[in-house]
Amino acid sequence: METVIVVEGLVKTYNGELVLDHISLRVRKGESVGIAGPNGAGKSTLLRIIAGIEPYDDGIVQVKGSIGYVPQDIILLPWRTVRGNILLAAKIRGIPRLEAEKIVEAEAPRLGLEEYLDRYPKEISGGTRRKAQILMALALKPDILLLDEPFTGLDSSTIEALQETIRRLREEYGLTIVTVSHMMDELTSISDRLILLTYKPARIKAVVEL
Amino acid sequence: MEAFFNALNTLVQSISVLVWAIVLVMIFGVTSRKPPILVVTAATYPVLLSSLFGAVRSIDSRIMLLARSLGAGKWEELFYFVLPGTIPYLAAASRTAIGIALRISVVAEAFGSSGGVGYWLVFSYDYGYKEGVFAWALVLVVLMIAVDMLLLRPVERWSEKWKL
Repeated sequence: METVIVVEGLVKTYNGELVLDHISLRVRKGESVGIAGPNGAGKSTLLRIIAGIEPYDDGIVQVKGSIGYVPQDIILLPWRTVRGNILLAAKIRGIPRLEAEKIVEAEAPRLGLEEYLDRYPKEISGGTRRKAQILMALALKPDILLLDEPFTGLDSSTIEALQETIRRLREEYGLTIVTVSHMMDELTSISDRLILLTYKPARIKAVVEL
Repeated sequence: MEAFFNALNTLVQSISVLVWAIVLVMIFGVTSRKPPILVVTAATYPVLLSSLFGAVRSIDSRIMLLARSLGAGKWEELFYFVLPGTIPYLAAASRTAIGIALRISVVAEAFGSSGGVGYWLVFSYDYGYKEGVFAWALVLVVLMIAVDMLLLRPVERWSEKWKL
């Protein structure tokens, strides 16, 4: 299977402190990889570097395909409705409005978002906002979905529903998924492979095939 | 750019409103509408401008992260993320600025206008018409309260929802 993410000898420092210490990993097309480690280990930094929104000091990062990034802190513009946020994101990425609307109409009911599309982010719960951010990422027609701590702050039934959604999206869209989380059990159920990181600086401690 | 406007602000603010009013009346004449408008602008724009700079600086970093993660260009960042993000701050600053503007406009009208509350207030004073002075002062107070309650506060409340 084709490799779509290559990270080789990645080094990242913050104010002189080593955060990521020669991280190397490869992700194949259609694979779902979980990156686990304690809070503050640098998992989110690694994901942001893969997403191309964080600079790094040394190493090679190559990504083949378009990315849908779902950050840990859900960010939806408060002055736009959920639908407005999604369509703006699609517009910026150059996805035709009709295509984005088609994805929204098809996926919103399945994500339980139908009645929230025309609401503002402040009017909906944290779990619903997370689903809205996932829908936003999907509307960008990504090849690779990057999920940063998707289960944090959610109750067990919402976590189960979200795990089911992630598995289904992978099946239906053939997405490559990279998820970082400190919640090992939750991560295990959606991943083919687990990469365990050490705490400060982050190094690869173990790779577990599931 | 910020340094330039800060220097300009210092210059404009260091000159009394009264001096601006007299100088502008000398330039444009008593019947011109320009002096009151320019004096009010000189008195209020520093508040709005410093609020705009402050707002741009304090835009939530997560909003900029979203812009970057979508690959937004500089103009897209400005129009879709930065400018809308400054609205709550500008709405709050507008409330202060319009309060200043209303007060200053009375002074400006008194010196350089042929109409308006300030003009009629001074006119009443010059002719020893006390009731006129109090009546126009009351009109001004009612006007300021009405503008604040009916326009500025609702706009400020509405703009709160634009904050992350």
